[in-house]
Amino acid sequence: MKEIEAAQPSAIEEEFNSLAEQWYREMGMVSLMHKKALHPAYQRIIGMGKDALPFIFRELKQRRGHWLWALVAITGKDPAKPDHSFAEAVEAWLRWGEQHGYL
Amino acid sequence: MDISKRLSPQREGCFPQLLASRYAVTSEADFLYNCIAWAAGPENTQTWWDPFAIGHGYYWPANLPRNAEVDTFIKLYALEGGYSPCETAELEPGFEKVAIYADHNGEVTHAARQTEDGGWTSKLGEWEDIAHKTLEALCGDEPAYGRVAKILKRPSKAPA
Repeated sequence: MKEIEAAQPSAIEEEFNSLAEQWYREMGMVSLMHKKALHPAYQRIIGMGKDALPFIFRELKQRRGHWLWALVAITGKDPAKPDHSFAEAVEAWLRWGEQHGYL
Repeated sequence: MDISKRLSPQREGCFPQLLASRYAVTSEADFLYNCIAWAAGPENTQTWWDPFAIGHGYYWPANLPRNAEVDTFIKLYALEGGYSPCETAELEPGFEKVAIYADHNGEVTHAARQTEDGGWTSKLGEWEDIAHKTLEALCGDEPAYGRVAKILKRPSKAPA
């Protein structure tokens, strides 16, 4: 019974998953980040603060995607460099996430 | 055009006029580049061009304003590709064309590049690339891309 309970996502993970899927579905066709980031689901994820970081890093590792705006907003950091491509910036963030215990 | 490759019904449904148009999916979905980069040239598959992004990993020329006005994107394609405004989206031998789409507020939503057969190629946000016969195929209210706001052209690099 305990194993079953341990495998179930927490309420905050369920909320994150629901918001993230809504955001992917409704903003996937959008090419400019201001519209993507101002979507209510994305804003609610940013509003979850550091509690959302493990799930954002999970998404970034598994699906990539445009989570860098949220990471900068929540952490106040940016481990990527100005000349980084998007792929390089994602890798820099994944290293940062590992170093800080989120992955 | 091989029209056997289609978007998922959910994605296709975002563009009502696409259903009545000939189109085909021409790539896998990819987060690394967007329509703005893809319209500037097929070599731009590693960069996401965006005036608004917060944080590193995105490209925007340092000397351009960070807004979504059509005039700003005209300057972008002039700077990056030597394009200038023109009147018609018709195929003109010896020229390459880019179409800029905007919403009802005049904010840029999308860009497409003309192909050699007079059709168009578009990257749909972080979704797939498609080849579409007409520019109107992606027009319409959100989540479609609004209307065609400007056509740009430049002399072809390849022999006409």
